[in-house]
Amino acid sequence: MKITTLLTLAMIAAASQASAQGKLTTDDIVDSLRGLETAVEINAPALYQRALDRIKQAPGQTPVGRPSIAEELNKLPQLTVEIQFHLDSAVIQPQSYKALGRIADALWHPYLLEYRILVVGHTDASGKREYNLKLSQRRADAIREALTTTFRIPGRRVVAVGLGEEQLQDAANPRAAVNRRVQLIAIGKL
Amino acid sequence: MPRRLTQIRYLAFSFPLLLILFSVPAAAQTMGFAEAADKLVAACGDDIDANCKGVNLGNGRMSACLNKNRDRISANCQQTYAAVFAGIERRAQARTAVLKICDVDARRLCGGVAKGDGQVLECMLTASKGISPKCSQAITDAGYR
Repeated sequence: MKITTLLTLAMIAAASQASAQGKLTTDDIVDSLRGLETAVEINAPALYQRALDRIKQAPGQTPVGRPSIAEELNKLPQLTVEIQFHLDSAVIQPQSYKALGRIADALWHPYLLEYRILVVGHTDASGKREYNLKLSQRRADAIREALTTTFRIPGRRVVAVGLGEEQLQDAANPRAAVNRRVQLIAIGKL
Repeated sequence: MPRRLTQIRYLAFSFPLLLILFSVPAAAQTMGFAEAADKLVAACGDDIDANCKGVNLGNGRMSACLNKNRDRISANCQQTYAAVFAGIERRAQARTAVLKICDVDARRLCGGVAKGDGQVLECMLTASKGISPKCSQAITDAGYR
């Protein structure tokens, strides 16, 4: 279990490094997402609700004290992509259109053609938790919308959820930029 | 001269011409989505910031916004955006349609090995012989080769 977690963290770290350098290619995305062994049952609205319930039940919880809200996602094939949004907004900046195009190219690749993908939006811990949760959902929805309309990835292949600041990458530095991220996770096949 | 001979000669001349006619748009269609997005932003990035800042890409919104502001955007963007969006749409449509168009070929050539859509497509892309012209054109239109 610890080894798995470490491996997952190493994979996420490697993926974030690649995206930070802005060199994430379509093939990188394909390679990171393929190889799903068993599909998992992911209910995006229920996942969102789980995060919202926790915020309401434990409003005083510090970032460091928050356990991972969606542990079941950690063992799935995934990567972190860099998508820039305008401040406090779900509008994707034009500089990130190319990254969207690369994701679309990857999702149309024969290796991933049957894959169902979860888009997860995360914020850092500045501002209110519930606001961040809503913002990250709107951002994940905007990515899903671009993929399924502009690039015509079939809608049933893409699910979007926002987890706000409930699953920080670097809880010790809750406002660090590394926390503001988008994950793509392979969750199943058609 | 018998009429049939003239027709054959006509065909012989027009065949290469037809090939050229069809290969030009096919080449234009091979642009990837990432490349298309890059082209749009290179030509229209500043115009988007100036005129369409709160507008998202999806659901035809950015295309509609640039269209609405076409008198205000740069000449470069004016010349580029419609073609880029049309190119993206054409490729996306072609990708949606390719397996349907190639269905008969796929059953014949890949029926025994391939199960899911991805495997079928993979098989079709590696099959070198026996693909019908219609399916072959669909694969080209989709930018898979």
